[in-house]
Amino acid sequence: MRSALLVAGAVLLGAAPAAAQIVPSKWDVGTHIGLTRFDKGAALKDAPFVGLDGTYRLGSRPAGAVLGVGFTFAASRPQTRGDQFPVVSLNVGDTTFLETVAQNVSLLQYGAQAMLSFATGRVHPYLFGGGGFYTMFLDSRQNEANRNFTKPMAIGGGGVDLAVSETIGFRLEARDLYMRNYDRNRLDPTVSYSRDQLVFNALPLPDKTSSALHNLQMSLVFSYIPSRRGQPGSQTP
Amino acid sequence: MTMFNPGRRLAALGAALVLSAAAAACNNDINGPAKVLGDPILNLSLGPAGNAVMPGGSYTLSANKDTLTITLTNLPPLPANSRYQVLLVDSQTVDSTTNNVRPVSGRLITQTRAKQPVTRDSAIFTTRTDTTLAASSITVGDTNRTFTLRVVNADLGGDAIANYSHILVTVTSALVIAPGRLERVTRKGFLVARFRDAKGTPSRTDDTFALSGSFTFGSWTINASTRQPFSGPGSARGGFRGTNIYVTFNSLIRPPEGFQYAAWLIDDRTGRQVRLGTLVTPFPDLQSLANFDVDSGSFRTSGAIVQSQLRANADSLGVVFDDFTRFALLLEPKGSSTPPSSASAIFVVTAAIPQSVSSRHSAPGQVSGTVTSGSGASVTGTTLILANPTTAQALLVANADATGKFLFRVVNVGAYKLYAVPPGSATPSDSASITVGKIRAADGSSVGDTVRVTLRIP
Repeated sequence: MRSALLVAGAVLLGAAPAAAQIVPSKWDVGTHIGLTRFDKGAALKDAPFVGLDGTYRLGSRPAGAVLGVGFTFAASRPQTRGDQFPVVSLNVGDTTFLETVAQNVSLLQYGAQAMLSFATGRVHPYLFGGGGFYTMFLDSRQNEANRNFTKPMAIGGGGVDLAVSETIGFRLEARDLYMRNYDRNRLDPTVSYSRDQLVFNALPLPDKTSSALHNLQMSLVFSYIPSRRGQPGSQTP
Repeated sequence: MTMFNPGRRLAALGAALVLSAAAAACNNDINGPAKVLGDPILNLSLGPAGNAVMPGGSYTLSANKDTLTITLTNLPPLPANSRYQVLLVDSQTVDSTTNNVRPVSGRLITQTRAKQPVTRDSAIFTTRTDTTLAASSITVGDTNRTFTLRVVNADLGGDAIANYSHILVTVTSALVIAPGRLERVTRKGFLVARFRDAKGTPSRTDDTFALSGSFTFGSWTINASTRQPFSGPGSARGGFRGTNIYVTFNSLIRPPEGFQYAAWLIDDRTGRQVRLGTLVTPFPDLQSLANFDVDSGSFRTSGAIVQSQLRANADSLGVVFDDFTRFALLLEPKGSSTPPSSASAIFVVTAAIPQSVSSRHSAPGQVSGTVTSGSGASVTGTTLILANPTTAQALLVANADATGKFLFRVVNVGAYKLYAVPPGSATPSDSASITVGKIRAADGSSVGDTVRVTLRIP
């Protein structure tokens, strides 16, 4: 399903007429679709994400390396892992049900990054790193309030860029999303009076957590260099 | 002239973003955020034991304060090597050098009241009196037994009853013989009575004496602010989950010195009792609270334990929960296992085991079988009657098919008599006594057995 949609997107993007000389700009824009494998201590289920990045090439460096700077943005909607939080008890007459409770959260990550790519023909390996913030929006209905928190993050990773044409390419990318000041307890959707006070060990102990977590993000990136038709040498700034 | 086509490119880029988002959404978990976890808990409706009978007794003090008569009732049986001991304590003596506690001995009279039936509707009570030499002989007790201890000043080796303020009854494994000293906050004894109302002055001539009084069941210390009469069980909730029983107690009062809490399952129909064990602190600590009467620990306040638990497993105990009718939390002397059927058992919390335990865990059994014909006649339509074995009252009826097979799909556990009535006949030609027993299912619940029978018709 996902691959079919991607192919359709690629066809749409590749449908531009190619009549005149293509003059590429110095911006490279990438749209990401991928999967985030969260650190076990994050208490979040793996979730797909979409993203957008833009890199402005500063120019060539020795050995064919190209340095660029730009922005990065990604959004996902992971669900918390119910087994990492207290079990709640639901009393119905002479029976009490034990339940795990999760919530869907919205995760935005945004920041600036620098990219170093190496021109080696149609295939360009690249490395990047940057920093910024992540914002997590909790489920307003379950928390009975609009709650969110913003904390610093850092990213670092690399990938391979396959150029399809002068302006279009695909990238396979992996990166480490390093979340700082992470507090798993903020994601606990349970309230104290509803927590199980009888069995206590209906679930194994939760995974170890930390305030600094490393999450792995893998994505397929459709990269596009905005361009114009014109005479050679009249590049956009 | 430079030709830009930004609109088309941006549209294509937007489409790619939308499609990417849609693809991501396809993978999103749309399940509800709450999921039931394993077996439900079948609740126990726990409450204070209304008929709890605590140890008690009374004392009388002669007018000249040289004779003390102590009567003790309803003492629970003690484990081997344990004894009851009576002490006199002076709560005004709190310095670090002077003795303030003295063991007492004297003449002990034991009266045992026995009920003897005369006719079906009436009985007489007889009382047997025994005399022994010391209070330390008291090792067993029940509601029909009264111990009376008479102490005179001469028993105190030159000391005087009037020099003390309280009588303490304790449980001990090592009898105290010599006078000693209690610290201000040392928990001591389980029965206490005060006979001297000290004025707080060094002179005892201005103190007043109560000539009689009753014992209080609870913990006693020299420091009056930390004394704690036993008052009640706090709150509790519990239930059965699969083959486990869990009961959580909140603010359970500390047992008096020498006592501990223990839980039992009781079957009032058969008298069977199974001891579930003593209490522990909640998971994950699970510290034993067997010494909760005297130990200190972070899990308690000065007077109560914040939270405690009873956890037991049916497989480990070799029982099926629905074989019992009652859950009971008892206060028993440490080291013993006072059976709940004992008249002097101290019930603190009880609960009836709910019907749901047996009705939800016990699947009914089945009775199936075959009817054969001795003459080769058709067995089709043979009537099978499952009846009460005592009254012969028909409970279930089925018919055999062309091959003689029959089936009673839902048969409760129990004993039955099965009759086969040939087609066209009004009287059974064969019968069999059967018992649908209870067996243990793979999930730990008890289920009815399947019984197979062969009956003959002429």
